[in-house]
Amino acid sequence: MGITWIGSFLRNLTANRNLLKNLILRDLKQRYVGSVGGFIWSFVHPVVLLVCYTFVFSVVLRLRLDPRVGTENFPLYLFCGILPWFMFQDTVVRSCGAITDNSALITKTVIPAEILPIAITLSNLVHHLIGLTILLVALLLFHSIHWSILWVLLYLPILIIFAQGLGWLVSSLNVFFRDTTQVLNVLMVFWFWFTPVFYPAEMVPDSFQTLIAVNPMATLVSGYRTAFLQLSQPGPEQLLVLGGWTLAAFLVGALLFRLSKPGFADVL
Amino acid sequence: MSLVSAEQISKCYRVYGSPSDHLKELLSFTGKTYHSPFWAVRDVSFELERGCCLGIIGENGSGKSTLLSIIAGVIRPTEGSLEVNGRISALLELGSGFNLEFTGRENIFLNASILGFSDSQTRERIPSIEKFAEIGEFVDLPLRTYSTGMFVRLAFAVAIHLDPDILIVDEALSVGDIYFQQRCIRRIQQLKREGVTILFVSHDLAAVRSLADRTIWMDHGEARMDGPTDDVVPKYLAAMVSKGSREVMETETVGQALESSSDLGVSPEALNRIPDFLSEIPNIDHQYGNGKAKICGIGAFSREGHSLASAVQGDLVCIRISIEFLEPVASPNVGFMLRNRLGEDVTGTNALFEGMPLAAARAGDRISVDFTMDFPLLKAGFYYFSPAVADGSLDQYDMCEWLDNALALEIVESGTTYGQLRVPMRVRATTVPQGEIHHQDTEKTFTTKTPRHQED
Repeated sequence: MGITWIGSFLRNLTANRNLLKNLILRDLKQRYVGSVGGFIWSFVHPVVLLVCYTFVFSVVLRLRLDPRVGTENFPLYLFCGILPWFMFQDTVVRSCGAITDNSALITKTVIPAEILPIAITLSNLVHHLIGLTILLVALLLFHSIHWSILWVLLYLPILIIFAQGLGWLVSSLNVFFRDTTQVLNVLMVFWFWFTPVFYPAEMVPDSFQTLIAVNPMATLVSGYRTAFLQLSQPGPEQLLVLGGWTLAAFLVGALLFRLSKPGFADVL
Repeated sequence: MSLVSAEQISKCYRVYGSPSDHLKELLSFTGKTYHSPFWAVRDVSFELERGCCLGIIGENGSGKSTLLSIIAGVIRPTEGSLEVNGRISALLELGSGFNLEFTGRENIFLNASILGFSDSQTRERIPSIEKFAEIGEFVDLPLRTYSTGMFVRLAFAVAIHLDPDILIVDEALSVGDIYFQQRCIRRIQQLKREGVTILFVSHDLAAVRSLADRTIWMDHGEARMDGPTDDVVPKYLAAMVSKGSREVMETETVGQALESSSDLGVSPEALNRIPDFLSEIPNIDHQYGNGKAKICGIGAFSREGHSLASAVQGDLVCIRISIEFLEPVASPNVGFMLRNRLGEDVTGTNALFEGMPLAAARAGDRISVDFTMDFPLLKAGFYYFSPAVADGSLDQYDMCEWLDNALALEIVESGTTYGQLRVPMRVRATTVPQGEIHHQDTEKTFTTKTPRHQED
């Protein structure tokens, strides 16, 4: 049964690639609708972020990272961690409204609903890639680029699959429980601060290290830092846990979405 | 092979106490139910061939729209099987797939891709969509700048240009301006000839009559009658009349027939200003009848005999309808239906009903019939007169000619009007001492005097 589902899902996706393209374009344009700068703002945001981090942490606070961390450039360290986090958070939080915000499409047109959260993930991916480009430029200017960068080819797909799974999960849950958005927003605050983005995982007391080890986002963040800053690779147990979470999120998300989809039009 | 084949489809809406009950049920493996059932559509079966047009009529809440949504594939039938062979283009709600912030062009592309069109296929169709929608350079402006009319035209234009095998239209025709409605009807007829199967829901029985080969009359979710339009519509009308307007038919309140012009409330000098025989019809949306008589002109005139395009509620309005008989008509009758902007019948009457039978007419005879009224205190807006000439009695007649919405009259409010109309009213309030409760005879008299618009 699973195989035929995957088969029909992929066939559907190919058949609707043009719809997917237009939905992604719509989503990208929607952010800047009516603005003159348009897409340029997508570049401005990350650059401003990077400049601000540098000012606050390197110029004002003169923060020095623990030597165990392996790099001294705190702004780049931070930027490396915040990019995958933003990709994750944006995808999951915005997916939450993917179905409910498009109730007209669901109830009045024949649209493959699973495509709506996918469009959000892919449109966020575009912004993520812009962020990565800016990171690369910064690395060239203030650091160096190493072959380890290829690790991103492992971590980025995992990030996408993980976020997509949760995206499906919350988007279908939100149809039936409108509180999902609120719960998610609260949850994301916790999740963000319990993920070593603003601080190195090494500084977390031993009694809390388990919390880091089971947090898939912690592993992804340090994976990104391996790729871009040549820091130490997350441990094999952590990678396994990450793999487990990703698979679970994707399967549960896809299954829940699949089972609840026939009810969307009736509830909306 | 039939294009649409529906077999005993039913839709049961589950009424849940809360949305979470719904999810519990979807995920329940034990089959436990958490709802109370409501059957919106029950056991409807039909088959449609290529190029066939099905009209669906019925009162509000009878399941018409649910039925269309099921056929469009938006909602699934609870029971029964539905087989559809072909591409469906559905206008279930106008511009439902549209985003107001985006331009018309962007919305066209998005809508087309929902139906599986590639961008290059869509690009080929853009010129004809633009042409039909008549929105000009607005196509590159955001939809929020559109007027309702432009919005409707664009939505309809997109739906018909995406090569549907099956076109589904829910009430959309009654939204646009009359001129556009007429074009839509012509276009639907053309699509029908090209082999497109059409399903539509409408309250506009004239449109149903002119388009649908077959009609299903929905009543409380069930198909009460299914057959050729000419059989179903009269039965439906008869049921509606016996249901809603029984009182009107039974109470023999017949207006006064007036012979002399002075009694009309219009002075002879004023009447002199009105041409004896009108030969202009401002607008024709739809026309039907056996052609034995022809409506040559219709006009609205004020107390002073001036032609009216607008009037204040309560003003005296004289409607003159000029008829030419092309064949002998034994018992002619002339009347009109007054409709509001939405195409809903507001009121209607005819000479016979008002107690003024007309003399038998020979071929070539020409008559003008005046209907003079104090215009009802209807809320502001456009109202349309549809004149008709028939042969026969009130119950049994042949329609010689019926013109839809031939004359428009804009009504201006003389005072704030809440709801559809204002009713002259007298109010009395009585202070009742505490502890003393007894029945009050409230005064229920309606004033007969209506406010007049002062012009002089």
